[in-house]
Amino acid sequence: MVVRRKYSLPGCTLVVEGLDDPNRDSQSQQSTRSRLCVLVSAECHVLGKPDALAGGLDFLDELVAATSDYTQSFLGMGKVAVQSPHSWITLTPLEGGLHRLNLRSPQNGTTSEPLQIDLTTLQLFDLVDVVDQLLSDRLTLPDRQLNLLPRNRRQAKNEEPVSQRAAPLALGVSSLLVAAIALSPLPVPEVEQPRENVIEETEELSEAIATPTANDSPPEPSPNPQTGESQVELADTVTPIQDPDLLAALRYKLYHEIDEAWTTVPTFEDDLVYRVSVGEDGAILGYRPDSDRAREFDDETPLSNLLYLPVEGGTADVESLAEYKVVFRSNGVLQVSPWDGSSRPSRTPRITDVATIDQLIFEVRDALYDQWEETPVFDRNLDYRLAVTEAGEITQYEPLSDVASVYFGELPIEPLYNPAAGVEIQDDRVTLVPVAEFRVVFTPRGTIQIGPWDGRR
Amino acid sequence: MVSNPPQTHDSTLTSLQQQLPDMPVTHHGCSRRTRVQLDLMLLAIEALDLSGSEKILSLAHQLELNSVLSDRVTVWRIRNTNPLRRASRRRPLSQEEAKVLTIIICKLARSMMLQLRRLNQEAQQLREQNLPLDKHPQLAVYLSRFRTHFRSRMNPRRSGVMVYDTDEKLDNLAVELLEKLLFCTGTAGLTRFWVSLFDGEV
Repeated sequence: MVVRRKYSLPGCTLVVEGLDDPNRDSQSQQSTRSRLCVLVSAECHVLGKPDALAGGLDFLDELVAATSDYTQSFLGMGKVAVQSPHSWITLTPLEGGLHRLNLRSPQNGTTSEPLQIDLTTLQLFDLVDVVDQLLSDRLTLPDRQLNLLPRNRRQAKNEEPVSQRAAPLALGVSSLLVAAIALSPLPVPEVEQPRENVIEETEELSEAIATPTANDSPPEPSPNPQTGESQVELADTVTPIQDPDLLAALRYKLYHEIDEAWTTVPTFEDDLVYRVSVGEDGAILGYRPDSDRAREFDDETPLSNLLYLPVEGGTADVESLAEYKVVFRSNGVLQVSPWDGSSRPSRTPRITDVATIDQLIFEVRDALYDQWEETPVFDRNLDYRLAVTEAGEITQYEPLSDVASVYFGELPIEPLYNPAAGVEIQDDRVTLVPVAEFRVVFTPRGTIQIGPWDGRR
Repeated sequence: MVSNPPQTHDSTLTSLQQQLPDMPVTHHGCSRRTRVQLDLMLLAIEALDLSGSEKILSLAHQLELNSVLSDRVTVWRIRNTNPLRRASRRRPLSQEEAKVLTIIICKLARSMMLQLRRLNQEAQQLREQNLPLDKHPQLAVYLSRFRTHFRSRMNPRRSGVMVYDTDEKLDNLAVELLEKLLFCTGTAGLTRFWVSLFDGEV
C-alpha cells in the first residue's frame, strides 16, 4: 500500500511517499495511520522558490544531515559553514542573514551547475522543522531518528573542504575572517615585535628567577666617574639592599616601568647596557651607560625620562639602593638582572588557600575563554604555566614546549597578561604579590583545561 | 497529518529532563559559553515580554521544576553564573540547572512562536532593504529593551561585553538571539538547543 505523508509549515512543505510494512501483523492496524517503511520519493518545496528539491532516500538522508548539522552549528557557534566534502547538499551562510542551500546532482556532479536556493532564517527554520517532524514521526521511517552530537570548532573546520576555506571571507564574521587568513597558505607576515618581545622576556625572567645563571653574568662594573648621566654618587655610605624579596620585587618593578616606557623602535644594532640604581621605593635614582654605544643612543631609551628628580633639586637623599643591569636589545627585548649577578632572587610567594585557588581556576578559565576568539590552527595540545594573583591577574606565563611558544600569539594569554599586578607598593616598599600557579592546556578542539600546577606535576 | 512531537504534551519533570541527554561537564559545571548563552536567551525573552521574568518562575512551578528553580533569588543566583554579569558569581552551573533553564527557555519561546516568526521576518526584510532595524515599531521596542537590559546587567569591563559597545552591535546580538529563540520553538527545538550549548568545551 502506498503511503503519502505531508509535513508543512508556512514556509516549507515536505512530502514523502513510500510503502508500508509488508510484514505488519493485523494487531498493529489499530492505528489508523499505517507505517511508512520504504521511502520511494521525498519532495521539498520552499515557499516562493520555483525549484522543488526531490529525490529518494539518499536525498532525504543528505537533506536531514545537511540541515541538521548546519542548524546545530548556527545555534552553537553562530554562522559557521559546516560541510562534509562528500555531501551533495550543503548549506553556507551568506551576508545579510541568508543561508544558501547548494544541491549538486550526485550522478554528474562535476559538470552540472549546482542548484542554489537562498533561504531566510525563517525559511531555514521551517525547513529544519519539517525535517524534524518527519524524524520524530514514529510511523514514518522509524529507523530514521534525530541524532544530535555536540559539535566543536575543530569538527566544523575539518569538515570544510580546502576549496571552501576561502568562502568565509564573504561572511562578514570577523572571527571567521581571522580563521580564514590563518588558514591560507600565504607566508606569515612579519612577526610583530611586541609579541615576540613578551615571550622572550618572560622566558628570560622566569629563567632568571629559577636559576640565576652564569651566562647572564654582568660585565665587570666599570665605574666611569666622568659620566654626566649618573645622578647618584655611589658613596660608601649608601648600603646596598640585601633583602632578596625586595630585590626581586624591585627588579620586577624596574623591568615593567622601563618596558612600558620603551615605545620606540630600536635603531641601534648593538645591545645597550646600563647600570641603574633603584631606591627601596622603586624610584630610579640614577643610571650610567656601560659603553660608548649606550651613551650614544641614550635618547632612545626611556631612562632619562624615568629618572627620579628630587623636588628640592640636588641629589636624592638615599640610604640604601639596589643596582641592576638593564639591557636594551636591538630586537626590542628588554632584560633586567641584578648588577652583581649574585643576589639570588627569592621565589614569588604562593597562594595557599585551597578555596581561593579553586575559585581562581574558574576565573582564569572564564577569562581565557572570554578572550579566545580565534579558531585553533595548531594540531596538538599547548601547555603553559601561568602565575595568577588573587585578583585573577596573570603576572607570569611560560610556554612549556616549543610548539607552545610558536602558537603563543594565537592564544588569549597575552591580552590578559598584566605583569604590573605582580608587585605591590605599600608604604614605599615594593613587595611581590602572592600567586597561584596553574597549568593550562589549550587543545586543538578549542577547549581549555586548567589545573593547579603542583596538582599535576 | 502532522505528527506531534512528544514534548508538546504535558510532561512530567522527569520525562522532560530525561529527554535531554547528559553532556560532559567537569566538576566546575557547565562551560562559560553555556552559562552566557542561557542567560542571554532569557534576557531576550524578557525584552520580548515584560512579564518574562515572572513567567520563568510560574512556568517552573507549572512544570514541577521548582525543586531547582524555587524562588526569585535562586533564579537570580543561577543566572548570575553568567560571567558577563555585573553581579556575576563564581558559582558553578550544574547540568540539572542548565537543563531546567533550557526547558523554560524553549517553553517560553514556544508560547511566543507567532511573535518570533513575525519579528524574524521583519528583521530580514529590513535587512534586505538596507533599512535600520528600528524602522519596525515592534522590533524597535524589542531592540531598545534588550539594549537597556543588557547594559544595566552586564559588566562593561568584561571583554565579552566590550565587544557590544555600540547600539548596532547590540542590535545584531538581539537579532541573533531572536533567531535562536525561533529555533527553540521547533519540533526538536528543545533537544537542538540543549545540544548546541555544548560544543566540546569541557
